Amino acid sequence: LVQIDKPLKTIAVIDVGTTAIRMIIAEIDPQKEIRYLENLSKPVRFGKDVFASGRISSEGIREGIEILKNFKEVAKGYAVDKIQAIATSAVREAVNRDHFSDQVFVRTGIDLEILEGPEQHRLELIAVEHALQGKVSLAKKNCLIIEVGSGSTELIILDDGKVEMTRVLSIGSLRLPEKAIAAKMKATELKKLLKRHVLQVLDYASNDFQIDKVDLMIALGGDMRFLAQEITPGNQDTFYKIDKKEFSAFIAKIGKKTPEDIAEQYGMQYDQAEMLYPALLMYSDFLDQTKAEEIIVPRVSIRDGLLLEYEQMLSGYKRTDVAKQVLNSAKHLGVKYKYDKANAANVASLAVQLFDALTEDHGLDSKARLLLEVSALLHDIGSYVSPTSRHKHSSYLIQVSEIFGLRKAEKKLVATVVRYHRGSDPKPTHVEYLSLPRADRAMVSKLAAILRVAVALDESGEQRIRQFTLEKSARGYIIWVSSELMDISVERTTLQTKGKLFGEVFCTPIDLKIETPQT
Amino acid sequence: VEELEKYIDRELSWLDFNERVLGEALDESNPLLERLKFIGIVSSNLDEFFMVRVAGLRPSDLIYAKVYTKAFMLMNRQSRYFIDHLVEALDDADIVRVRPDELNAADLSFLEKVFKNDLMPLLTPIAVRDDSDLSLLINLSLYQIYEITNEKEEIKYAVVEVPKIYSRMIRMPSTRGRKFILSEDLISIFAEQLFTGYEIKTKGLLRVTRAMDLSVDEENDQDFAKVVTEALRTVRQNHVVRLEVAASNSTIDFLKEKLDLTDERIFRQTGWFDLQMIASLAFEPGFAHLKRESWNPQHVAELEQREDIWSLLKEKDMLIHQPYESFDAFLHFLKQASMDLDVLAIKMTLYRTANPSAVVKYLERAVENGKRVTVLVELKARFDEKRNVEWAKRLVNSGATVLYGVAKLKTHSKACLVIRREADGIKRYVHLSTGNYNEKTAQIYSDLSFFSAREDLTSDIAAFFNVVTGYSQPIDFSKIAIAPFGLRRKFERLTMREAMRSNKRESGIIIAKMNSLVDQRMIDALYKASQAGVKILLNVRGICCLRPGVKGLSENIEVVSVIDMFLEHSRIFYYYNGGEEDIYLSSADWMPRNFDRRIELMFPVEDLHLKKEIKSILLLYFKDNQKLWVLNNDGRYEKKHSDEKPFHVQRYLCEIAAKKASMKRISPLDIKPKMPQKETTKTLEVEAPFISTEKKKQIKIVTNIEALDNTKESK
Repeated sequence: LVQIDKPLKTIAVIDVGTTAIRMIIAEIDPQKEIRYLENLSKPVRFGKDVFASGRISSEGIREGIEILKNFKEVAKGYAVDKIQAIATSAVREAVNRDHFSDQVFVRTGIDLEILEGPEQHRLELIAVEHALQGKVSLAKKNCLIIEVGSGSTELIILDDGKVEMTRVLSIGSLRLPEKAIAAKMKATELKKLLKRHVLQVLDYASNDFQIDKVDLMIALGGDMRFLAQEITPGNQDTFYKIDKKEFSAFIAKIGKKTPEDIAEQYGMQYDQAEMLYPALLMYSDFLDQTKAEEIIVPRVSIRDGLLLEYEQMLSGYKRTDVAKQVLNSAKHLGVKYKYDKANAANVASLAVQLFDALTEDHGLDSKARLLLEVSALLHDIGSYVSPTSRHKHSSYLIQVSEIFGLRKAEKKLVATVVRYHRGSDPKPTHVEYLSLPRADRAMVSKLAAILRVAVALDESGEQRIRQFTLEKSARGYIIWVSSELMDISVERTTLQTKGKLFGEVFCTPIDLKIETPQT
Repeated sequence: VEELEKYIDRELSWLDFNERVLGEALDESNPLLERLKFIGIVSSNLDEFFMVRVAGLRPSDLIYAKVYTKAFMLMNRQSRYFIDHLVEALDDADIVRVRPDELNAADLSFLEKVFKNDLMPLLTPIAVRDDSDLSLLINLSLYQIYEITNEKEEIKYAVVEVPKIYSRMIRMPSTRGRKFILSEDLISIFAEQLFTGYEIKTKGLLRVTRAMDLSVDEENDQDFAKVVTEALRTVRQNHVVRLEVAASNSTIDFLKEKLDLTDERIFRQTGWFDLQMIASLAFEPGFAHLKRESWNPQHVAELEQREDIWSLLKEKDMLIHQPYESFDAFLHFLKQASMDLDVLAIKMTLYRTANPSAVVKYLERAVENGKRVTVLVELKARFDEKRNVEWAKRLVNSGATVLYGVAKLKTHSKACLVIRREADGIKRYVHLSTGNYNEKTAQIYSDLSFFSAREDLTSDIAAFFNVVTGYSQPIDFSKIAIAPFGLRRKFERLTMREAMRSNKRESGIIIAKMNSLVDQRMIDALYKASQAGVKILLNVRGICCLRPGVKGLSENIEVVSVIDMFLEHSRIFYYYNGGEEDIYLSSADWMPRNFDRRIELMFPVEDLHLKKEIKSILLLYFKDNQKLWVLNNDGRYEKKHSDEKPFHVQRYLCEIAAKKASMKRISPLDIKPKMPQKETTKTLEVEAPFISTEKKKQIKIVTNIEALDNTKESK
């Protein structure tokens, strides 16, 4: 009996945000556009709780659970195949977040995944690129993707379509500088304060990127979608284009109204109306620092990102190659620390070749492959600090930097792999290593072993070895390189020391040899 | 125009409405018992009016004295007409009230038995001393009051409640027709037995109406069937807003003092008390020749006989016009949903439902069949609370999710959503109506009932349920508007748009049908539209605070009201919109409570054929010359009389429905290609006949009557 699984899936995605919990139910058919069935939103006070006291109040938790129960009830009406729930800013920062997600699971059966900034960026980028549908090209542009949320502001900078850097700023429309709150939101005061604040933030980040080079601004977020809809009603496209002048005029108009007026006039909830003006001001402050003359507002949210990611899983088609963007972001980090680009690229290439050749030996997935590639790219950025103990410097630089698409735990893995690319082998006395879960420890050892071999192969720093064939036999593995290479003694010697870890981890010694010229 | 005159007072307008209801009792073209029924409706309406509306007035209010005067005048007219005409007519029809002085010895001995065995055990005479409290007088109960004395002269008055649980009209043996004696008369005859040792000096009758703290419910005001329940009758303590009394002057003075009443609250009844009880005769079996021919709502075979109702609705939207067409169409829809294997979920609002209800039965069955059933129950639906609680419990026990609505907001909208899994994905179906999910009232209320599978509309309704269940805050709807989240704004915008699009070449047109028009902001918007040249036709059954036909204010507006055998209940809104006509149906009247304090729903009908049909229905009413009242700019209603051929809209709609139903279903093979026909069909001109002739030219709306009569298409 052959049962063909129906390609059609009904999915519910839930986003536990700072001011509201939202849910979309949608139908995903790999052959078609995503079809939206339900769209729910219920306000919560997580932001107010967390930004004041650091934790979600028990009342807030109960309220959240009640909402999620109701949402689940609606989802059941569609017999959904999957409920995917994520939590962002406020919950992420709450000290009792684990307690919260545990209670959610126990009482509603919903597995709440607490999303970190980088993952959020990944989903945002997927959603944005989908909405633009290639109609707005990112090529040859210096692009800023920005979302001023209620609890945080997310920035992604792309150069020529490649992710350069990402940032999560701890300001948002609900999380204003204290002075602004003290000033009781008086429009003119607020305007000045926010501007100063944004400039400060940008000044601080100016080492990483120059905002004045940005010539394309893409704004996400409900407040911008609202503005865009008011300015260009009837727009049926998947994104809006807003002229800078119109944008400023609209903000000026909003600035003159009280939140009560806004709520009444636009049929908005009061809380939402209250945050509208500060949010728009912040967008405006960012826009003013760029060269952009218009703002692109995609009609999507992070929930669409979740759905799209799921759809891509089903269909295999990817508009946004997340892995590539992760590497772009890593390369940008390398440039920042003046890495040897050619060496890094070659080591990465060699490492990946080895990884692929060893598929049966290591049993790791494509994610590990990506982490290995990132590790290889960044293995030597520590020499920027000092040539001594540079593997250690590389390691901490990676830990404190943002790499697009990598969550904290993943960054830690990369940092650890890099830490072991030279010097000591992983040891039970190394706290960093020991603090990893067992499966991750095994992975780190394997990746570090491969990385060491790859580094050894480019020990000369001249990229003499770019390709090889791996011969596996019971006595050991042999890396065969082309006979055109006359002398590989440097690499071979290095491998003898650096390959020890490989020998241990894979229980097989590894050696380097030159192929005999074919006759 | 002075502020005072700009709007018609809503209480006075409500009394006008009851004048029109009384008009139906006076209309001799109606059968006798039908007229009696309307007499009863006036009584029950007035009871509620005093309890709820008058109770809210203070003597210092400008309108206070006017309301009492006008209400009492209405009661007088009702009472007089009943005594002078209907009693006689009932006599002629052998329905006879026997008076105590007409009784012979045989009658008396029969009645004494009845009194002793049945009535007396139910009687509780209560002595009223000077210091006793009259809060014991139960709201709306009929009492006899006796002035009594004994040697000690201790007690002056005693009251006896005429038992509610005993028939007020006690049947007497008779060979033909119906002979009855009123229970208060019977008590009176044997009253001595209640007061042994006392001498009865005078006898009288009284009935008090007390203030209630409820808001008026427009569902009830022409509907005699339910009215005031026991719960309401037993409200004591609250202050008396009306005393109906027939007694000696000294007794009346005594009551006035004890109840702390001013003269204007005292109505001296010279006729029969509580005619609502008398009118129940009209609902008894028999007397067929005195009743109007009963109407059987026609079955809509296209829906009811369709096994796969889903494929039909995917093809096209469907409209049912109740009670001309049967509510069974909805029951069939619900039944299919409850049994269909692919249906995942059913959600619906239940505001008032019949008991026992087929709706509830199907919902229970749906739960048994594994569907997720969510029911939004409105318990605040007045007078029905106890009944609602019972079946709500039944549903909960069966496993349905029963919710009681958004806090403080009454859910007045009527909607049902079916979610079904089909081969190419989730498909949703909705039924939306201007009427309640109630099999009984569906036979006497005129309502439009609409089925659709349109993606945008069904998606909105799904979102609507998230709002009314409290699961979500309102989001942007693409098709519908809901109160209290923007419904008023939607209507205001539509009206403003009509004004803006109106110009010399082409004036805008608004046609609206509703139960009541009270909301001042809407009225102002309509005035503005009128001033911009928009022609506005309003069909408002009940209260209308808009003053039509005033030069410079509302000269392009006319207002009519239809009071007839079926309660006009549908709310239909038409906007010309520069030729791209919009038609909306809604559960809401243009009243502040509908806009601000209730969950109401408004949705567009977009199917071209149905739009045409609804527009025709709207316009047909203005053609009526039998049951149509026209509101003049002096605030008075005038019954429309015409020398033209009689046109009776409700009867016409019955005929059309019968004709449609009599057409057998034909096989598609029988349909032959037709030559395109010229538009030679009957057209109906609605020429705003009530405003001056020069205006007539300006407003001329021609409708195609045949749009209703789609039997022709299948011929």
